[in-house]
Amino acid sequence: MQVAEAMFDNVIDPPVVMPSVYGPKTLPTQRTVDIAGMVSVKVRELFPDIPEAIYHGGEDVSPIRAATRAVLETVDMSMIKPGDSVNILCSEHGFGILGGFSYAEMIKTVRDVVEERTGNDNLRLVVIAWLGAKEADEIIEFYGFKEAFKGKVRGATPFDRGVPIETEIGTLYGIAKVYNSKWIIHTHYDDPREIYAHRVIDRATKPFGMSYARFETRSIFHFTFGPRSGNFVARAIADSEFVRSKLAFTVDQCSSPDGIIGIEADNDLHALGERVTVNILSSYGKMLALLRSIEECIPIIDGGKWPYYVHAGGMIFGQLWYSQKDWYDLNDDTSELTALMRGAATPAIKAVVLNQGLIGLGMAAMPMMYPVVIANEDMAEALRRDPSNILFVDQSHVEQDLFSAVEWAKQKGGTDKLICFDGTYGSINASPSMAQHLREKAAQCQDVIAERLPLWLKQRGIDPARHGLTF
Amino acid sequence: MKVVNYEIEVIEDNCTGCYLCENICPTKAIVLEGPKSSAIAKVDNDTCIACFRCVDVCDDDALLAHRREQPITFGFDTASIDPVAINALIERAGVSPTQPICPCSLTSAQEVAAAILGGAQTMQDLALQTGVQSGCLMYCFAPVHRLLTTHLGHDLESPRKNQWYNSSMTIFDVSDEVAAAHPEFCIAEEKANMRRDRAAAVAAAAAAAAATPTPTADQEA
Repeated sequence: MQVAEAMFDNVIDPPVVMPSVYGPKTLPTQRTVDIAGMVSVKVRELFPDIPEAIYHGGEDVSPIRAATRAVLETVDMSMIKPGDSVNILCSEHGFGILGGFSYAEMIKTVRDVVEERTGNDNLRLVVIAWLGAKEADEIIEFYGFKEAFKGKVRGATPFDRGVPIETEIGTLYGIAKVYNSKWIIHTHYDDPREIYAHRVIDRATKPFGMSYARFETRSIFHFTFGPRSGNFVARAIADSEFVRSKLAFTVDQCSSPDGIIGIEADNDLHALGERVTVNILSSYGKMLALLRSIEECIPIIDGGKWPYYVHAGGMIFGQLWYSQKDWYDLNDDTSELTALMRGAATPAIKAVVLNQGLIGLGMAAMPMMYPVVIANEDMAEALRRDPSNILFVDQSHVEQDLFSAVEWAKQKGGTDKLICFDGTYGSINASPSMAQHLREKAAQCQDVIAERLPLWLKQRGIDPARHGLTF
Repeated sequence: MKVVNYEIEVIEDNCTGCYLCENICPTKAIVLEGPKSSAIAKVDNDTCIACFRCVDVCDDDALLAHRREQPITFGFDTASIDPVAINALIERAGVSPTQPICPCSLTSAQEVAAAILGGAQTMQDLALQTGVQSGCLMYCFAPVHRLLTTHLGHDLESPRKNQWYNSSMTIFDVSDEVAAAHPEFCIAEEKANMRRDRAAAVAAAAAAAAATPTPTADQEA
């Protein structure tokens, strides 16, 4: 039975993609919204209690500036004196949320407010890359940070000079450019992203063990600790005397699958972290359950960050790929991360279409598990030169355009249920049959928060009453 | 093990002799030659594992990657080393025997341990013999470094200032007191799980090896 397009909303425009040397040579002119017959379904239609956003994307970021100013009224900045050096820190994934414009505006507002309140104009933005030497420069230029910070902006990579940080578990290494100031301001975002890696344990401290850390420390977090215990690497650094002596305050961009719902800020990182944790668990739990319940689909990856990290209705592709486990539940029967992930890979994915994404983050297992089609030669050529995915193109099919790729995938996958990971929040762009499937499955996931949130909070030592929650 | 399909060309006219490429290369395949005031990058593509970090870090378009006519392979024959010794080193180091130690090059912990037992003395040796460190470095550095320093019994000297630091602690380095003070991170439970699962994996591998019939001399002939 064909599902009528008229039952759903029109497709919504996905966020623009920042050109990058780590992506295809030219940005594809065909995007998922150009596929005939596509529709969209609102996440708040699927789950009406998902918190409503103040910002869904687009050029008007005034709500972000207003929310940031308002919350900073509650933050003590008296420790910052004129003439003190201050590094405002930001991390790469924030620029993958709704095109990055809200995160950029939050950062710029923080700078302006600190200058107004403290008289300090020695405020430097440090943009920390995931991997590549050119990533930070691309971000700085695209978001106008040089102008906003009056030239005081620099990039940092995990290969830059390190600074030893003595922690409860021994010496770990931060990036010197991050910490070479009297004060640091930690700006972050709370979308759940790779929940299989961090499990929403102490989420707000994560950048201290990843973004702000050298690659040796990032490797320790990932591979010599377990999937839950690895988060202690970040906590140990954040709690070190070195970091505590420098951290002025933290600002966090809060989200739900609907979009950006507000801004949080606090001098107490742990207090903010607990609020952020409650938000992630309660705002995203139903959508994760929905992804877990999907029976068949063809994801189309069409965004400006690494394929794992491109959103559909606020949920990243990686969360669909590894959806067959409640990652919020901290009961594990094994502590080998790759075994857990292997067991969580969904059989619902029948084929994958890769239109665009960045290279450099390993996803070697994808074409080993699913039929994969790369939708244009530029993306295929980028992947041939990806040192982290050396066999990816050899194990995939390459088409010359997106529409041909979609037809190939539909034939291979035996379904027309297309779901677009194109960067959207608030709505999911999909084929009518997929939108209908999501509606049907959402009805089965309505109780997951009431049933599971008490356990999730208890496992993290969070008292629901402190957050106005009753069960 | 890594199959390498690309090689690096130096565009000498563009090279400014900044040393960024030499400092970041994991195998010393690219070095600056000549007096510092006029040094030019030179590449030995027989020792290049195509991590592309040199191309990435160059600000002067002096390095290009080209497809090789014939791919070359960097790998170590694990079968050449006693599996009992391999597993013993992995266990002493506190590294997982089942997780791919380098997902980017698809290299196993067994291959790295075998290369170490076979004579690899440095991180550079291991990169050349197995292809590790040719991708993102966000996963493999710590377990690889840990295996090597465990076998050697001491820290290593980084070939270049700040290229890497001796830092590869594992969960087993966390004291029981620290673990108890932070129960939400499940450190004690994960230690116990890992010991249990790793011992089972090694036992299963040994049982499988024992069950594999050894070819007779006639069969091998």
